[in-house]
Amino acid sequence: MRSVAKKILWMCLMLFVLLMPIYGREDMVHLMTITGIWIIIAMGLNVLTGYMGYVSFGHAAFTGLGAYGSAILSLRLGMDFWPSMAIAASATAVLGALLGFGILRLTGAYFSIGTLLLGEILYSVYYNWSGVTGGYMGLTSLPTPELFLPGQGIIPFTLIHWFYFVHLVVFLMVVGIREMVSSQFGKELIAIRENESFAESVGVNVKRRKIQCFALSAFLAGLGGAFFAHFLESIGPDSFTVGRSLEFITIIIIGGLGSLVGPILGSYILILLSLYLEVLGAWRMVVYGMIIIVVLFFGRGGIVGMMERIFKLDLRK
Amino acid sequence: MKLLEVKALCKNFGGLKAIKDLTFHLNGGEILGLIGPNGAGKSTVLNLITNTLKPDSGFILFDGQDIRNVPRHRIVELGIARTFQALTVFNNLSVVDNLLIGHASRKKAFSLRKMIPSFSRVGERKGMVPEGLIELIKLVGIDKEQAHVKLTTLPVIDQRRVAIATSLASQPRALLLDEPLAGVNHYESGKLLDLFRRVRDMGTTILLIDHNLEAVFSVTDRVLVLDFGELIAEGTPEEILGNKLVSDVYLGE
Repeated sequence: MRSVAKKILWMCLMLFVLLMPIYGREDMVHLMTITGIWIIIAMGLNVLTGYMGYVSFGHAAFTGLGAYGSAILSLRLGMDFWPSMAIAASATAVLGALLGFGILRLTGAYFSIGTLLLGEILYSVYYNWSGVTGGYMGLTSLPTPELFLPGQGIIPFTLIHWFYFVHLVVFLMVVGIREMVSSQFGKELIAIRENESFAESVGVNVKRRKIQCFALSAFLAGLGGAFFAHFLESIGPDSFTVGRSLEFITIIIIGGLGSLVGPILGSYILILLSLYLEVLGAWRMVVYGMIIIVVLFFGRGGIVGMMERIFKLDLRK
Repeated sequence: MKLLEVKALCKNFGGLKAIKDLTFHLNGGEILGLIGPNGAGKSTVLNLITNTLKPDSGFILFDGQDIRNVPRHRIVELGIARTFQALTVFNNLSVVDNLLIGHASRKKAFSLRKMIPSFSRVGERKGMVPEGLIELIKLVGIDKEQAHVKLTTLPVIDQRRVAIATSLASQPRALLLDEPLAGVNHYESGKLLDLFRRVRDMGTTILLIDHNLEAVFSVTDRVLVLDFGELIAEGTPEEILGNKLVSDVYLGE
């Protein structure tokens, strides 16, 4: 019974994604594509924060690394989207591992403050290093990915292609993270979240696992960033502020930390909210903050937690 | 054969001399008891052996190898497992998952496999549990039907058993037990003592810390008595029972 309800939830989500571009207005498809990219980044953050328990306040900076990396590779070296995206995401992972080497020596709130500073530092690099990042103007006219379709030859991505491509990646991530949670690696991450010191004394190589997890999370952030850059065809530093990082945190807290479907539901809700809160401008951060507080106080486990309690589901996996 | 040797070990916490010039050894295949009043430094000894604390001076040799600077997770791989005085388990993981965390550090595990994260599913259903873990669950006295339930749903005594099973899952050569009988009733502690004997008979050497002297004397081959960080007596349970100094320390004059 329970697993049936879970299957129905996933079927509904998949049906929604499959049918949405057919019946939805074009601007909605555009918005949903961006939401899909946010889901990729939020799921990556969830691996770090939800499963391993390390709250990063600087994740947008890694998104920025992927976005600027891919943009610079394609503009300066004339690379296609596919290689530049892959290289940028991998480079983000490597840089994540290197930064993680130092920053993961911190735990709890100290780690969060460290990532906050990291986010600020990288943001000022994006903003001020005009020669490379284009400064506050950002970088524009990024190439569109090209796709080989039998019968039509090589054609550039249209909005519909983007939508399905991004959601295909989301789907693969859902499958992949589901496997990860059930694997030895995933269990060791959860063990670190539960009790890091105990995990170490029963033989988990905590340092190594933490760096691997941080790198994985950075990779997914970089991937999402590269998609973001090429989808909008231009990027600027203001997409990668600490405020944006807080939005990702809000997403996974609203959705439910350490659950598979949480970042997806959280992204939908935050995007819908941001549509209606557009008029508030910067004040919407106040609303996000209040939402986090309300969820932390009254809705333990976010939407997923509430659904688990009401319908007696196990949505962790 | 001396499996574990501690030589002239000293540890100070600020001005407090927690461990003073402690020398003892653990013979392979025995159960060694470590007793002493509260604050005698018993848990500190375990923390020093497992590199949770760094000694100020002295040596700790395991199977002839100096392990003072070996990282904690490597010590488990070398074959020293421990439990904690306060019940420590992974509450939100299932029984099998708890054991799997320890199981990954068993000696036979291929080292390259541990470097590269394993993403294949493990321990989710009956067929996915590595060989031996179900036997281990049964050995510590937990119904194998409960192998996949979360620990929060188990009674505390079963959580204690899982904590012991988790440390055994790494297939240790030496098992260090820190007050495993604290808060356990007479009947259950009898069953745990039986378990310790069986674990010893299966080839694991045990260092047992506990306040329940009757239980310690009934199961151990030798007993060490620690007071204010000093070894004040060492011998068979009968010798310790007859030792005037020990009864003074425990009962007062």
